[in-house]
Amino acid sequence: MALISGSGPTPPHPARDGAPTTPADDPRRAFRWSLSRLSPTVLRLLAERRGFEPEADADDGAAIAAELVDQLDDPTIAAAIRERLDENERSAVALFGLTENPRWPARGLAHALSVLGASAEDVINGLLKRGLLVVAADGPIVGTSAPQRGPSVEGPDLLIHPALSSGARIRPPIDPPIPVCEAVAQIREADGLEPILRLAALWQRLGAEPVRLTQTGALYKRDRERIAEDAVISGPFRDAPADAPDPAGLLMELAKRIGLIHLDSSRELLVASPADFWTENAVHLPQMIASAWLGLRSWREWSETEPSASSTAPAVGEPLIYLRPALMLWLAGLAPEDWVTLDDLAEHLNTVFPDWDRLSFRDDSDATEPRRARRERRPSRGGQAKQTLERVLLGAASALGLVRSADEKTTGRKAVQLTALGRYAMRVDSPPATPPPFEKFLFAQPNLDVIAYRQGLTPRLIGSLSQFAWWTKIDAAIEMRLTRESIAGGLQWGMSVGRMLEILTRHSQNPLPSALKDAVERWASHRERVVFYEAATLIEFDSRRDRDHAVERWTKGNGEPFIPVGERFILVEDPRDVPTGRISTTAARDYRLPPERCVTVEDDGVTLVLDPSRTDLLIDAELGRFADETPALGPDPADPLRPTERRFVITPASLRRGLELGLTPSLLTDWFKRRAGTEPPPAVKLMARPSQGGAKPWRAVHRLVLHVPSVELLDGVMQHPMTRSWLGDRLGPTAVEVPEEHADQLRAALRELGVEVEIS
Amino acid sequence: MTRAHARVPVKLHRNVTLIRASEPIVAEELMARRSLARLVLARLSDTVLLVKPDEADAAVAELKKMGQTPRIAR
Repeated sequence: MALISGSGPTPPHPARDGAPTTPADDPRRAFRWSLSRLSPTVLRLLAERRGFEPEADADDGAAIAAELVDQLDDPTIAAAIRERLDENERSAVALFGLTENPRWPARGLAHALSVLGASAEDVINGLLKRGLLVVAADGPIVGTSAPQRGPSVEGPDLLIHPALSSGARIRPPIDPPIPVCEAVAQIREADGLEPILRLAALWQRLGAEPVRLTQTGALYKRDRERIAEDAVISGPFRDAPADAPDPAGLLMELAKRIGLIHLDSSRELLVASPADFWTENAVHLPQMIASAWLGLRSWREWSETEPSASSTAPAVGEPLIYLRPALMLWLAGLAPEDWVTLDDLAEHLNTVFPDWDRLSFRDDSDATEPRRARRERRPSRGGQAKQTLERVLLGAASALGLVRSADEKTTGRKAVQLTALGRYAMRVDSPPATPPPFEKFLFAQPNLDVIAYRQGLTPRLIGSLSQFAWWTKIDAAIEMRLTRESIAGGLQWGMSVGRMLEILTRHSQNPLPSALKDAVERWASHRERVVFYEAATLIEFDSRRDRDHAVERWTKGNGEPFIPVGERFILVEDPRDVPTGRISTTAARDYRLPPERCVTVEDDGVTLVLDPSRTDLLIDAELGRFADETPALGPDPADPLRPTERRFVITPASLRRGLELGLTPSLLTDWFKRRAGTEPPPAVKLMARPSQGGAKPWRAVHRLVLHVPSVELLDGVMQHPMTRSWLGDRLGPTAVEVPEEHADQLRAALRELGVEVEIS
Repeated sequence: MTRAHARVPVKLHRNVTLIRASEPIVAEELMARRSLARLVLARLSDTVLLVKPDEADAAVAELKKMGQTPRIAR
């Protein structure tokens, strides 16, 4: 396959260096970026094939790429381009649209197209040659030489302009026709509620406590175990005829794709999205989940490794990711009332594309082995085909309510057809009819357990209940429990106690037990006992008088008064309530930033002076551990309006206090560097030196010092053979130490030289 | 300009992590828990505790361990 690919540099990652890059989250810009990597000659050729002459300079690749993208931005032109696509090209575009994935691996797209009966190579090349697909410039770069068969295992990703795929009309394949079966019995169809309920449970669990991710994006062991031990999330799907592997993994990935949970700004935590999600998406949620599943790549129906595979072999099952939408498209081509047995469907696919049920793309790397040989090498071919269909269609697809199953009456073979939701998700039918409302579906018990009958549940109600009732069992009947934590959670999501009780009352078959009402109200009132502010604003006034004056006269936007704190602060919960029109900000400190230097050390080494414009609330707590505040010196006569400088002194007692509280010399050094920009002064180091218990005391001795009238005379005394033997160290220009035991000898020698010495 | 209309000079402390108790006795109860107290830098008033800026998650976890269901203002 000849893939037109860019040869420019791989763009840097935005999160790593902040440089202008391909924004992976913006498919349109990623598409444009990748096009702009192509040479101007290739881009002009693409434009020519699309039937227009670029206005940009012939060698301005970026400008030509922009024109190619602008063309697709125009809905009329995009629609006209779509109209001119042949059936197979339309299928390719539809695969991008159905899965809501603007990026497909070339090998995956080729596999899906082949399953749909298209010549994948021709289709992909045709779209690439008109710039309707482009090789992702951030992926592996491939040459223009054509491999013998299909894209390679390490093939590139292909991008589409979202405007081209989002409006694509779906025409499911009908040729060759699928053999339909006559009559069926034992029809089994899920109501589609189970995945929504379990996603809701996952959402409320992450709302109560987010899960932490390792650098590789996996869950930490503790969180993995927490999820695995939660039967509501990790148990098998009750509604599906076949098991879906790793239900918790499936739910986690679906929740991410539909936006129910997301990475927080640190990219280390998976957190629940705001409760608004439920009101904004309740109507379309089943279809959103279906689209998410169709395009899900981080979870597979078949994730086991082959028994013979080495530890480095890739997990099998990747082709099933791309088989999924193709299979659903084949079923969408049937009339709504038609059934097909899994056996007939497998046989049908065999005739369309014999490799449809492959479990790995690895085979392609061994191009020397004939395909027939590889197929013959596979054990239990029929078993694998059947298992593949069962896993995709009777597993997750059935649990999501997209496929219903039955037994063929005459043979007992398993048959399938799309449900109304499945046909809607595949865009071949209008939305399924809404079931009649069933208002009274709850049974609230005095022990605070609440039973819910499935008939009354809707995505919107599931969202509302999930905010304040803990899902404990999902079965034919659903069980919830009200707890202090769940009620606090509901309040945290912004739901009032009144609204919680209203929901329970409205849908409960029995009057709400008074014990339940009392408990909910009691727990709700308990919650205001403690308020935790993650990012409050404190306004600090110069004096208590100013603060009290403000509290008396100022109100927040909603008319509520501000909360006074301590002597000189008011607390503002929402930064938008800071009365900016009434204040003049003399200094500001953001506690998400590292602490500022705000301390000056005076010459004595132990007195610390605070810069009032740079101090923060932390400095008092930090200094209070090892220093004592001294009375302020009073206003600066040169600038009486300047805030008074506060001073602290480090004393042996204050420092001892700090050491008892866990302060160490290294912590002290770190503090001085952060707050004063300097090492601790020697005077502090003197006090902070490690304890020397048992060490020798410092020695202090009386010394006899000879003072001589001049330097020259002392030089003489130190040189003369009669005197020099009786001297110690010279202490200065005219002073020398005299060991006491030699004092008499020195005095005698000097006397002989005519000098009298007086010892005092 | 009269005092009523003059802008009052203030210092702003933004993104401060705090715990506010409904009553002083509740704050005492919180501070009596050693594992929470070590996350508190200072007591700004009878009812308001200043939490170490990088210990917000740990402080919330401690409050929950104590059986508190704090309102969390983000």
